[in-house]
Amino acid sequence: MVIIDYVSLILAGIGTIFFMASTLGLLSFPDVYSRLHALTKADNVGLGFIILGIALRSQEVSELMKLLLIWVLAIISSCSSCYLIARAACRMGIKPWKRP
Amino acid sequence: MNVSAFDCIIAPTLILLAWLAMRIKDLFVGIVLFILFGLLTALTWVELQAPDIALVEAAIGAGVVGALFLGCLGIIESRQGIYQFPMERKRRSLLWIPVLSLAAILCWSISQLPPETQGLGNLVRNSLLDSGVTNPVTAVILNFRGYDTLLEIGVLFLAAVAIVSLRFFEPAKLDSRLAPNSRVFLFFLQLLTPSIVLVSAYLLWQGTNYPGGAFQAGAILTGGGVLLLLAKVSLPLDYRNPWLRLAVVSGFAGFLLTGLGMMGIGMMFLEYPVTYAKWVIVLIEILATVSSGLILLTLFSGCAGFLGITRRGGDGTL
Amino acid sequence: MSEGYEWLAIIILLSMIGGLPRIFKGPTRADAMLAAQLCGTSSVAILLLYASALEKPFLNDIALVFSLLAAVATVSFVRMTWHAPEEVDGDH
Repeated sequence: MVIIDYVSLILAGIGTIFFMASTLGLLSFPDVYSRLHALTKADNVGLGFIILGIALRSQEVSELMKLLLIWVLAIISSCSSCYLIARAACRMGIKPWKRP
Repeated sequence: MNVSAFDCIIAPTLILLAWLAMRIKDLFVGIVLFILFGLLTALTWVELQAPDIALVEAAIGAGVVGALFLGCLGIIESRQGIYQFPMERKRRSLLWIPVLSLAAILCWSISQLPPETQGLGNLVRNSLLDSGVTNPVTAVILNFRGYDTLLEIGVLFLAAVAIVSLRFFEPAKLDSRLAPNSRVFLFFLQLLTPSIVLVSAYLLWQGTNYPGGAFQAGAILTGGGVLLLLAKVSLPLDYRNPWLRLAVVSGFAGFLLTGLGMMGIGMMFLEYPVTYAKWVIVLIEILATVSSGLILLTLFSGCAGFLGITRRGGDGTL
Repeated sequence: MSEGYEWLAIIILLSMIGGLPRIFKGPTRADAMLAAQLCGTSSVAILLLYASALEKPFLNDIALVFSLLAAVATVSFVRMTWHAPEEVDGDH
């Protein structure tokens, strides 16, 4: 295995750790706003690291462009849905968790 | 049979999700579990090496079907409050007998299958050059077995006709129920809609040589249409408009006319001349994409309350 | 090399399934939709890893479709179905 393969595997591994972190956040955070935050932000960072790792191994520019497009679409989709859910939750009167 | 770790994790999860989705009392949680089931099924199709079906499952099962069920639930709840599915526990034990016997028959018939079969794969691969495309799935559904696809598009068209003819029974009140738009959402749509159209056209063109095709592209267009409807963009979904009717019919009619046209040239019904086969297939796929996208959007609008008589003389949706 | 990617994909799959209890525990309906969002993004990651591991670039297209339509179910939930914070009844 070449050095680039090791580097890309490590980057993908870091991405996987972020995915596990977002699941952990989803399960253990105290209210819907913090769970939203954990889910959307950590997932996208994880996806970014994975795509970075995969992009190091790709052979063609078109594939690289497609991976970048996937990442951009995932980011804007999750940011928008996060905002919409939080806005609706706020309007409904769900109060953020305060440290007791 | 080669069982991987992936299979061992996904298979029990699918069964668990399906069982929970049906047994749970809260209808909303059941719908969410069903959406998750669709997502995992798309991964399963990939594992079973059926990427075209995985594309359809991703586009329809994860996107359109979820929106459709949630829209229905929204209408039900706006009329009668939060819906809890009543679970009656009487006399269901007798149902186990036919269920278990059917399961036993299925398992027995699967065990009787020969372990290694060629199926029709070799036959398709040998005739692939005559079909005009290099993706075997597209060759089968649009050339070798085009008759089946023609009738499937016909069924879709009939479903649209049924939904539209029911619109007189549910006047659209959805625009008053939807909250005012947020600028973030509109900006997001401004970024997303061109990508949707582009990816749909890309999958349509890719379908000839790689996994892709007309239904996948149409379902993606439907996803975009759903988002636009939810953003209170007034799409011209008024079925009094003759252009809309033409667009919906064009898939089925185009396919049928092409098949009949082939008979006019002197070939059999739906047999394409080998040199033009690719372009005939692409033409049919374009028509099928537009019309199946519109039909699925009509199904969503009908189930979510966007169709119906609104203002007199106004256009159809909002 | 591709072995490593496949194991990472399985880890992401397990963490995706591990997020499912939130559907039943979550006090609001939005928590259930969060699980759907989690599944969507995790599926994109899994498909990308398999696309690179098995050298099948068409799996990237499936990931593209997933990321494109990830927002549809969530947005339709927010706009059409979320009326009030209700207790999610997880008894079955």
